[in-house]
Amino acid sequence: MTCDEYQARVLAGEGSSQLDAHVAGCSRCRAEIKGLGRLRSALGDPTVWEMPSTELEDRVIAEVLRQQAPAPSPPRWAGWVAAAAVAVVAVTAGVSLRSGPDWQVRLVSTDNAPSAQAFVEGWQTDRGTRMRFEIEGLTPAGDDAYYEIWLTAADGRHVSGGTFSGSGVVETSIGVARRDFPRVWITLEPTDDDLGPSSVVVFDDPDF
Amino acid sequence: MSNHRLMRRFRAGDPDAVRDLYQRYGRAVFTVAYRALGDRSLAEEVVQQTFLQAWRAADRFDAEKDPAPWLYSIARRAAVDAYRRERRHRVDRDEDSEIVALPPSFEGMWEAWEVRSALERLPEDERSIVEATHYRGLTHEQTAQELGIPIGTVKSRSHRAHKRLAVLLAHLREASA
Repeated sequence: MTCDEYQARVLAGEGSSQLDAHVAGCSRCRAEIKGLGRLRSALGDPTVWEMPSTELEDRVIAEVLRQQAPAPSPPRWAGWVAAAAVAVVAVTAGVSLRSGPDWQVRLVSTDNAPSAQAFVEGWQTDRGTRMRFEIEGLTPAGDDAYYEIWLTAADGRHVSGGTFSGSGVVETSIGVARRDFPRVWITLEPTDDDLGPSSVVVFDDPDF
Repeated sequence: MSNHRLMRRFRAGDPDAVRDLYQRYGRAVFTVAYRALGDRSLAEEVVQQTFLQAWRAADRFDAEKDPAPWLYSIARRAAVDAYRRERRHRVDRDEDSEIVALPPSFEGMWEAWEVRSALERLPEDERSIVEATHYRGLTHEQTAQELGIPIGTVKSRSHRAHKRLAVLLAHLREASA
């Protein structure tokens, strides 16, 4: 039996003297025990097995496709007025007829916050960039520190995207475009006079 | 059908692609919503909102990319919005930032998504063995009796399923190291 097969048995919760003897003598399998235990716990989470109602699929499809349903036919003359109105709105607002962020990134956590996670969505506006962060598993910063969002250009210039104290949803606006300051990252900052980013990086951009 | 082909059809506005996308990811979306909110009715609303928002934003999605992280982020945002609506939470607003404290149930949503997605990739006969083992706590003997199949079949399906799951969820094991 290979190590993968022994590990599958551990994951399944099986026990035997043969399995115990192998694990005791195999450093590779011993190193996996904690992770396999975590997976077993995750597989036993009741929320993973909860079922939606059987009608949900049809409700979702109907709701989505209702968005595509054509409007009742207007009088022939109204078509010209309606089309002109839509063109004016689209030109002046400069927006797509569909909503949604312009970009999204799952930031990479560093050794300074190994079990934390952060997702960020961004929208380009006429005043700069609006961002929405969803952060979980981050230790509260404490009284003498705070977390700070940074956007950094290719030449190393930094712009602060704002500060926060711990996990949750953070929405912020910044007066630059992400295309000019592409790297998005987060540091833990001490309360001091230094306005630049500290060396304690908690999340970084996966593309950098 | 590959994800790329499915998402190209979805982006093109193909109504059949909506159902195909739901059948591929709807269960995982429900799982993260239920994990966060703990309420079936709210979780189903989040599922509806997720696919609606995905449909509206489809033209911005790069069809060559894996849709799972994109759908997950939409679902998570929809769950946060549902939580805020239900709590009618008042926060102090300053000019540039707004912070909402989320309950512990929002922790581990990504892990729940990954686990449910991995389970969806198992054949039904293997998935039922995993459910019997981990969710219902049955032994192989009890599972064999309940499903009306030989215990040897239960053991071989269990072994195949757990080998697959160990590989599909290897990144979650490493996260705990």
